[in-house]
Amino acid sequence: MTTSREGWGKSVAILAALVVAVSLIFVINALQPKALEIRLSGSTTLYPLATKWAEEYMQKNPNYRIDVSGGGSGKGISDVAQNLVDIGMSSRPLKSEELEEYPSLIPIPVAHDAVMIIVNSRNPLLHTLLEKGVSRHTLFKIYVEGSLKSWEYVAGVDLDGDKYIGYNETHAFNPETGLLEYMPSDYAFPASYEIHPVTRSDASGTAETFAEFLGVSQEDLEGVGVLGNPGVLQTVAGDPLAIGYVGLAFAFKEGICALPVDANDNGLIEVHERADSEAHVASHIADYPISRALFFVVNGKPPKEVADFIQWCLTEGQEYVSEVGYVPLTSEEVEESLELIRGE
Amino acid sequence: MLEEKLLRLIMVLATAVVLGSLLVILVDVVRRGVTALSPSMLIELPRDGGRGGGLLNAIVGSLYISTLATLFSASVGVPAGLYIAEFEGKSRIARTASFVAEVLSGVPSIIFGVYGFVFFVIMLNMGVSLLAGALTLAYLELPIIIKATEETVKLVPSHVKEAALSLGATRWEVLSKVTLRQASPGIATAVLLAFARGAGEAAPLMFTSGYSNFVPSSLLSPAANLPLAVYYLIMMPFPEAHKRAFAAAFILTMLVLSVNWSSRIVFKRWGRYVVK
Amino acid sequence: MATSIKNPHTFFNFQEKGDPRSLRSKIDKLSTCFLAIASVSSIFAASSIAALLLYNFVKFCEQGFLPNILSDAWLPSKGKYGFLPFIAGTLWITVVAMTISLPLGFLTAIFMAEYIPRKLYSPVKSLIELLAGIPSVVYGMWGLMILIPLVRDHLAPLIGGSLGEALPIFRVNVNAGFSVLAAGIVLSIMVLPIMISISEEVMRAVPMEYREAALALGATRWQTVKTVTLRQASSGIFAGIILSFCRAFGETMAVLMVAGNVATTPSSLFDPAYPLTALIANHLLEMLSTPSYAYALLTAGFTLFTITFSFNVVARLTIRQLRRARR
Repeated sequence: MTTSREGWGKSVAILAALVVAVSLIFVINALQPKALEIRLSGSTTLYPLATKWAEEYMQKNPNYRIDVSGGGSGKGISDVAQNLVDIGMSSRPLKSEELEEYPSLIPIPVAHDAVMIIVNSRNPLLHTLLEKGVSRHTLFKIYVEGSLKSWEYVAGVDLDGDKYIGYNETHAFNPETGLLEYMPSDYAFPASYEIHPVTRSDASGTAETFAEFLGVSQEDLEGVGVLGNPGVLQTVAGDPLAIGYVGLAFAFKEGICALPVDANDNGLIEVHERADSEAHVASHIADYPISRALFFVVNGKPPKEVADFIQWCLTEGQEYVSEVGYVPLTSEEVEESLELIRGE
Repeated sequence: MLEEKLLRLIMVLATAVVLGSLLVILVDVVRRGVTALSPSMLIELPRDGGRGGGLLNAIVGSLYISTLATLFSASVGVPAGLYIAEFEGKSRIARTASFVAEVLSGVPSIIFGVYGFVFFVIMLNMGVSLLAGALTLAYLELPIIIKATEETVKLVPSHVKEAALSLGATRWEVLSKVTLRQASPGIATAVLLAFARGAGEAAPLMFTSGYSNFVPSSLLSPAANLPLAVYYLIMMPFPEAHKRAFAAAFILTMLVLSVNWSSRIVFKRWGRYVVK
Repeated sequence: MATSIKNPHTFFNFQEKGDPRSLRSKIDKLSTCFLAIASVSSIFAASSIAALLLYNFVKFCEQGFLPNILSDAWLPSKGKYGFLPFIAGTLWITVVAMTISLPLGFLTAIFMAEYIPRKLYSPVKSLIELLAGIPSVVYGMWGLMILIPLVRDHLAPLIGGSLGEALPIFRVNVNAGFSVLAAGIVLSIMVLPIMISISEEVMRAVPMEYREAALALGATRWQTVKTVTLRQASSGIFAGIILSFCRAFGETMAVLMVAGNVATTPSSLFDPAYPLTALIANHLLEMLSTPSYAYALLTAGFTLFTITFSFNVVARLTIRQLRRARR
């Protein structure tokens, strides 16, 4: 049996050991040579590209410490406006209210990207969808009006053999009359072909770009809200009836397929509306209906180490862009962006 | 009699369900965590946006933030608890402070985060930093320490205090030399429990100390922590990131539970020679 | 006492008899003052939080958003701040959590206060306290990994298919797994320890004499519990219910991960919801781009704060009264 003094000593010893351990870590850390720190935050679309750039740059310049975090384009812009980070990543241009409130913000285009419409690779109508694509009008009805709820209508195919092409719980399309009819109350809406739209719950540039394509803004989009491009990817890949939208780098992953987009509602899928592969979309990026530039946003003229990093991303960094899944800038665009840093 | 037996059965079932749900969750956390854990996870910094490397940033960040926060809150909360326990009958300040502390402990943790963001990060211009996070967490831990200290000090038998007073000690001397010694196991327990509570919180730190893939280099740099590591990693669609989330959850749960358990041991061992 | 402070031998040596009493009493007064200042810290913390939230709420009202606060439309870019979906979401989830945890916690508390074999009391109590110590993210993670697939693949088809036809509350409108039910279940487990510990403490506090009196009159154990213990402890149990409600109302991380975050008012257990806490967590960091957005989010915070604060005040006052009466 231990005496009280021994018990006393043991607890104090353990406590002291913990305090010493923690302070030791602190001291060791403080003794490291001071690294040049750059902080980025914002768009989850830009996140994989920025982390790749950060890793490559830190390898070449080991005295740099580049910290990249996500949170959505809105957060990135907010953060850089408040000087909480050095660079804000955004997958959309700045809004006029933002420029009014913070006129010193400078958006610098660093790459191009496309917003792809994705569905699960086990979607019952996959083949028809890949052929016919999905039209802008249909997307509007799914995401904004919320009135279109059945995959049958999107593909124009009667799947459950009830002689009707389901539209939503109260209406169905009658192929014989060619009209959308109000159904009697005993109409069984084919729930196994229900559309599950997925959208973004964070302040997303991807969502804003998609919403702009539909003529609205992000908050008008309906659907289950998830965080980040990875969140949409995961949700769609886990639900055969889901539909979502992600940046190009996330659109050709396992479990999902990217759909062609009939942007002008003419019933035909033109070359630039196709979504065969990353390379295909990249080569038609100028005409692809939902494309956008990706920005690094800085607040006023950036300090030397930040400017050096951005310059590197615009020049040598561009060779990594396509391997991560984005579209590099043209040489004129690179020049314009470099001007933005040099200028001011 | 039948009513009696039936009700007894229902009660046992209810208790079993409650304990069962605890076991289900713990077993799941341990099972996932143990398979996912590896020495490299404890030592390496994250790579590849969470898909590679380890959890060193979160582990060190959590330790720093919680230790600092507990230090702040204990240095204010323990004296506060002492005062309230001693002067509750005589001072209106003491009574109000005690009541407010009790009610403050019920305020949602995210409110502290909101306050910390607006006050520390923006208004006091600390930026998203280790310091802002620690201060915010200190606000959260403060009511816990005050209440627990108050209750422990109240348990010190009055005859001990009276004996000291009769020997001519001033109130402060009684407090510091006698009461404090008697209450120290309880106070140590309170501090450890507050530490464990702080280590498990994510919402207050989301906006104040942010997140970082590196070990914090100074008080003003952002810092990762284990709860947020679990949150961010599990929300990614990559199995490698999920693996790290499980490991982080396991480390976090073990840390919190062992601090809780050791606080009990401290109380028993240390409290052995306290006058009851 | 003739010794003066200026004497170097007695100045620093407080143990000596014949201490200059004025110095010791000065220290006494000073340190008591310092302690009082420290104790004001809790009042300072609470009031600065309240002040900050109140200020932003006032600004929110000044900008004329108050009349629409209960509308259904949350459209920040158009300046519409209707909180109804979020308040409704929080209420739905909290009510589900309370519905599950109340009977379970209550029965467990009675068992632990009255029926449990003495040897089992300590381990069971420690286990329940263990439950209280698990961080909320871990509950959220478990909910995400285990509960969501359970709801999506088993509970929703089963219940939605059968009861859902008749009762809209069980109807499955969107089967994503992220639902009021999932969040409610996770919250109920988190809230159980508070329910149990407060109810059990209050029941144990009922004096033995009351119970003995009932037993002496021929009541069975359960009858004693029903008529004596529960009636005496009722206000304390009620306070415990209020505190658990507040805990569920204010929980952030766990519901953030499983509730679905869709800004529409739920109409079924299987609908997703967007609790107020999740709203703040998701959007606080981007609020700086638009000032009115900031006021709106902080107003949400103000709502949370006032509701939990006032409920807490009521509950804690009740418990205090009970404790005082016991002494």
